[in-house]
Amino acid sequence: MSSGIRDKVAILGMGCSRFGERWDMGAEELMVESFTEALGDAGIDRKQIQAAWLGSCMDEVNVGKSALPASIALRLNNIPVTRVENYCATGTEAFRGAVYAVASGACDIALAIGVEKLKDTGYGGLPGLDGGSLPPLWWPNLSAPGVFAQVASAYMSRYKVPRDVLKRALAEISAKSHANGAKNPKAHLRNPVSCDTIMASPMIAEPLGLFDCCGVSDGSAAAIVTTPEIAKSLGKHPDQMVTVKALQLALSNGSEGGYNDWDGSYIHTTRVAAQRAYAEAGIKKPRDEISMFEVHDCFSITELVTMEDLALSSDGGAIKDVMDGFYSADGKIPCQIDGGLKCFGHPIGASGIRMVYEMYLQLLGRAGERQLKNPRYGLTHNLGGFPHQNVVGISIVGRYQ
Amino acid sequence: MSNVPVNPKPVPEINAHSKPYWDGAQRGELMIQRCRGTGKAFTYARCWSPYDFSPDPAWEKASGRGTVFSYTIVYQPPYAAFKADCPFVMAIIQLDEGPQMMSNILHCDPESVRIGMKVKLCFETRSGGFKIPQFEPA
Repeated sequence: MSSGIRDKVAILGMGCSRFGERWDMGAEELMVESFTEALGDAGIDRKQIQAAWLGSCMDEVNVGKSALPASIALRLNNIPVTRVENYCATGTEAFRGAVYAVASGACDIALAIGVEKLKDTGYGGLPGLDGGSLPPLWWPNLSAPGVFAQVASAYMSRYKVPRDVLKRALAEISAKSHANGAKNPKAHLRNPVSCDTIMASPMIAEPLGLFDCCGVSDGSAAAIVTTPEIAKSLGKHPDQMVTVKALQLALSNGSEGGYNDWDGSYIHTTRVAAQRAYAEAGIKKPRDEISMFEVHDCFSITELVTMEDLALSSDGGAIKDVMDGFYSADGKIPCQIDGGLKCFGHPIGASGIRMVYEMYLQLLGRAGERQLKNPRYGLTHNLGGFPHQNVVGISIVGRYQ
Repeated sequence: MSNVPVNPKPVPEINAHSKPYWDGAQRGELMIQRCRGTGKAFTYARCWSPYDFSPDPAWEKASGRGTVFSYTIVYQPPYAAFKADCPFVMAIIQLDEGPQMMSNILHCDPESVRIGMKVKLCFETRSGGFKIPQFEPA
């Protein structure tokens, strides 16, 4: 019987590059930027790292298919380095590899690093992810905003929500992330934007306008993990130690897309992964126990339904919570306190680790102008793929003692 | 992404499993499959049943009638070839036989589409005369 990951792995150090249009750097240099910060934070020599996981998604415009770019760029010491890819949940997948390696006892100190260099594509969205068992002609004329916009339609239909009520709540979600991102020196977008501006922006896919969609960025994020015992021996005080409380991954089995078990108004895998994560972390009442969270806000509607899928809002209750400021910076459970994908940015392979980075900074009281008061548990939610066919990674981190 | 050079609109790469579906479309028919073990119908084409993994699911002609399950109106084309279609409706259709499939809803004002609306099969002709199953208001 497995005993889960809770408190078996401590975060020794983390780093995150500035996200944005990084014309001055390639993927390798971006990796060095986050790795250098993580190494300094961990207070170790790079030769003490015994295994590493590289997460990158769009290899066609990025670092290439193997893990060699990380091994070479970071001058790792001929250790095992593995490249992973799992759509937009790639960052969490890299983190999971390193955390599991330490938890198994196979190595003492492991590195997870995610990187993506996307602005070189020259356009705003992501390159196509066609192929395999996802032939595009079974989904004619699909666009990424379109397939998430359908969730909004299904949500309005299920809960009898008028369009203007939903549209206003979605605008509040984006405005909140812009306000938070303005306080984050590493964020891609650092400009506050009003709800009126957001609601007047050009339509992308009904009801999602331009400001309901996150962009893509260049950037990198890294985590160095070990056991709590080794962290103590390296001088980390247990009071100043962040450990992994839960780490779960749930993938669609195809039922949402074709077998009619799903009404389109939520993300099924988020619900599965969240309940497993709460059980693993020993959390019984997430709305009372989670202090802050970072969700995969690729679109504002994704953030809204995720609040319900994580059981933080009741089903159909997320709009009221958003309008009440429950998830704002000064609310009960701040969401996207670093600006989220919307404003911190979305370099695919780095995003999952970037979310953990913010929770880590907050738990250690190092988040500067956006620091929250005494957070206990931070949750990250990383979604790859489409509402009906996807990969969801959830982590919960907290102080060791 | 509308500057991605996909032009004209793509036609499918047909394999052994999907051939009956696309052959049916060229005849003006929507073909779906039915599991030999559970009797349940499903889309898209597979060489085994997703319900019980029984092999060789039966092919049958669907009625071509269904209901709008969810939809959106796309204003920004995914690829340049779809620009002229904008704004277009992207929808999940629940077929009368049970399975859901994704489609566009053609030949109507996009603003007139509603969840629960009845739709029927039609076809879009792409390059080389290739027919793609689509839907329109019933």
